Amino acid sequence: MGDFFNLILVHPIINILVAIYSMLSFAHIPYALGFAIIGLTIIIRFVMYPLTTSQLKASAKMQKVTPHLSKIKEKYKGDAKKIQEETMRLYKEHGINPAAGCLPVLIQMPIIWALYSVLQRMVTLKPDVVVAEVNKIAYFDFYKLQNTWDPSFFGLPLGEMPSKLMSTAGPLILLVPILTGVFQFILSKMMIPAKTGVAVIEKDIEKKTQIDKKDAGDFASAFQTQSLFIFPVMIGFFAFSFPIGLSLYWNTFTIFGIIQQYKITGLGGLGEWIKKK
Amino acid sequence: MMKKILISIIDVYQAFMSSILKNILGVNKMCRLSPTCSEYAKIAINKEGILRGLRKSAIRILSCQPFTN
Repeated sequence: MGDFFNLILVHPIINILVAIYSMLSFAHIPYALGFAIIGLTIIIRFVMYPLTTSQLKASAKMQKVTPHLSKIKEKYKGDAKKIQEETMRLYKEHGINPAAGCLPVLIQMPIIWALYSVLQRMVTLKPDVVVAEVNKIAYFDFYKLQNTWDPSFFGLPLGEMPSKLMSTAGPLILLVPILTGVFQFILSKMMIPAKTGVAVIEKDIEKKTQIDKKDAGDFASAFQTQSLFIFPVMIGFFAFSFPIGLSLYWNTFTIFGIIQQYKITGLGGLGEWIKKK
Repeated sequence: MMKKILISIIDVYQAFMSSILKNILGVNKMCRLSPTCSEYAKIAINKEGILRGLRKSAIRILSCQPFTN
């Protein structure tokens, strides 16, 4: 399984990364490794762009029809077949059915994971083994490495974790995890649709179901409702304890996501805050 | 016994993994089937046993894509 994953995803992605790196360093661009990570992430995001777009649109539509769905469920309580029928009719009316489904999600997961494992592996290579390790995986001679790479990006060592750098670089290094958390929060906030009449009704319904679920464990339900805040903190903590190269990947990924989200659904929940000021 | 373990794995997924996934991928509502696939899997495993339950759940997850109605 691991070999198969390497063959179809990890090794091809390493090849793209090294090809970009060789191009950049051939052009004498400084911090080529860091820019190669950014470039690679953007390329992968563009490849996934249609998938993500269809999924964002479907999600926004689903959100719109949710109150109707709850009404249907209440109206035909106990009649599962009727509920199914009415649901399908509703989906057709709003044009949800054909474009969506969770297939786009299932396809994106391994890609995101592969990118993570590639970078984890690449940025933590010891300088003296970089050339040998990378050239073993490179498909073509023309972008094979001649020398080891410079593993720093504007002074930040891409292979080190902020948690270890605290003692040498001081608390300023905390900016890396904090910024990572902030970008993540902006994206998460944008994902929540702006409050409209519909959304308010939906919240009422959610509250009702929450009361039903209360015995399901307070921590779990708190996690779900507060994930807007908990998730960015979690990501920030990851950025603190993972190599900085991974934070570079994740921030590029998130910023691309913010732009894409803005183009498709606008500012979402973030809009209320910006208008207030 | 195995049943209970499987179902509690799904519980953990529902409580934590699901909202993490939603945050990473930027979706709030992603299920068009109801109950959700994970809820369905819990019911199926409970009712029909591990093998049949898992098979039915797998079929259900795979049926959630653009090529089926």
